Amino acid sequence: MTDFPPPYDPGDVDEWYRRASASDRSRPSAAVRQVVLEHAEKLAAARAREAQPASQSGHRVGWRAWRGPAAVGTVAAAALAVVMQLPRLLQPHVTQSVEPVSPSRSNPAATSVPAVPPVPSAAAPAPDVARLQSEARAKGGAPAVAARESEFARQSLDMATRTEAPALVAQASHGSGAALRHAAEIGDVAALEVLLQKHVDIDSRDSLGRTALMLATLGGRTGAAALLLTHGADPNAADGRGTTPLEIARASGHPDIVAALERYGGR
Amino acid sequence: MTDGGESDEALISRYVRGDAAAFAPLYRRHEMRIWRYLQRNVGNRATADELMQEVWFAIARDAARYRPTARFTTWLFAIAHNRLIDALRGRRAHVSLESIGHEAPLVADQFTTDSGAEPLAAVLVRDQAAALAQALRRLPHEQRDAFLLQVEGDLTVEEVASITGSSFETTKSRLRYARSRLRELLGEYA
Repeated sequence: MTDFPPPYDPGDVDEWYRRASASDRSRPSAAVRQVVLEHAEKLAAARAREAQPASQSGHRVGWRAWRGPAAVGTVAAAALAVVMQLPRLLQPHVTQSVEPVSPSRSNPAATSVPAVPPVPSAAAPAPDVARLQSEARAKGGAPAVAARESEFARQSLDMATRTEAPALVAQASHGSGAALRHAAEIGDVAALEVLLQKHVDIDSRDSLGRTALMLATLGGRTGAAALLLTHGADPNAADGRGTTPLEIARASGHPDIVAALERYGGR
Repeated sequence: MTDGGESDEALISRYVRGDAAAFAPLYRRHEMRIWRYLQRNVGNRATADELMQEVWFAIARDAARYRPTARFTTWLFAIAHNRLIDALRGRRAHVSLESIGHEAPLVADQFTTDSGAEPLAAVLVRDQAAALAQALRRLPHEQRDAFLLQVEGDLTVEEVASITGSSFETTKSRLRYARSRLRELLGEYA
């Protein structure tokens, strides 16, 4: 016996819709399903890699994950500070200020006390350092300054090696966003791989609102752009002017990046 | 959740933790609902495919941003709605609010009926489905969108209002007008 569909009751629109949908056999293309599931799998694998150190080392893993790169970076920064201070430590009676500021009459010491150069980023926020600088200027006297600068250098090094200090970790995090963008800009895929293993914000932006993906696109760095996309970089993260990576790629004539961006939903 | 398996929220949570296997059941569970929502809104299979991919890429990428304070379905349809609106606002030249109403053959063809049915029954089903497709096409976009969100997402008026960024009363009116108009149009067919 033939099963004719019962007549629809136009009064029940929802029922009409449900029955029409039930008999609808149209589907999204198989290619879409495949691409979506593959993409999801890659992102999950990336997340699993990120989570792996956490599951292996228990509590305080966040600190530990940062300890290596943070220590290297901050020690290097402190060492640089020491090197920069070295000439002054060897020649305590320096009379020329490096600051392009005219000497203050109310503070004669300012004429003979060399200004402490900006501390490299890792040691910059140390309040003790700022206090030492301030005291050095206030008290004056080259030997005293030399001694205090020596103390400053020592403390800088100490601060640099204490990688669990929240300020330093925060700075390392900030710096890694910049490092990620730099690696993307120059197309250093190996460096990107390393940085992406860390808890780096893949969509962090520079002062112009550009992400690592945007910079890789600007530079025509296909490998870097592809790597960032597979790690979940937002393909539509526009810069401060609202320009998207896809628009840049098209304008710059990078068809491979255009294709990659489109595959990942770039608009 | 419609298949008696793990809840959507449990699956997305597993996926965020790096369990790739959790995504496929989530996709399969909601694939057709999202597909129909997109396809019946844009009336174009190729565009619907593109949007489908964008929606699910966004789900995979932003999974960690999902907060179980809202149902997963609401979040999913909110993303689908936003992608649809982006497309309609002219990011794609070939799809616009104006053009949607002029794709009659495509909209009618979007209902592909079960080929296993008896020929005459199949014709009837196809005709009824085509009638619905054409009726949907004749709705103003906001009404069609609200209606499709509600019937495909199984969403409340509040949820539809939240997704579309409209007030409760406005949404309620759109849904009422949509059903009233569909009733009228399908009445002509019946």
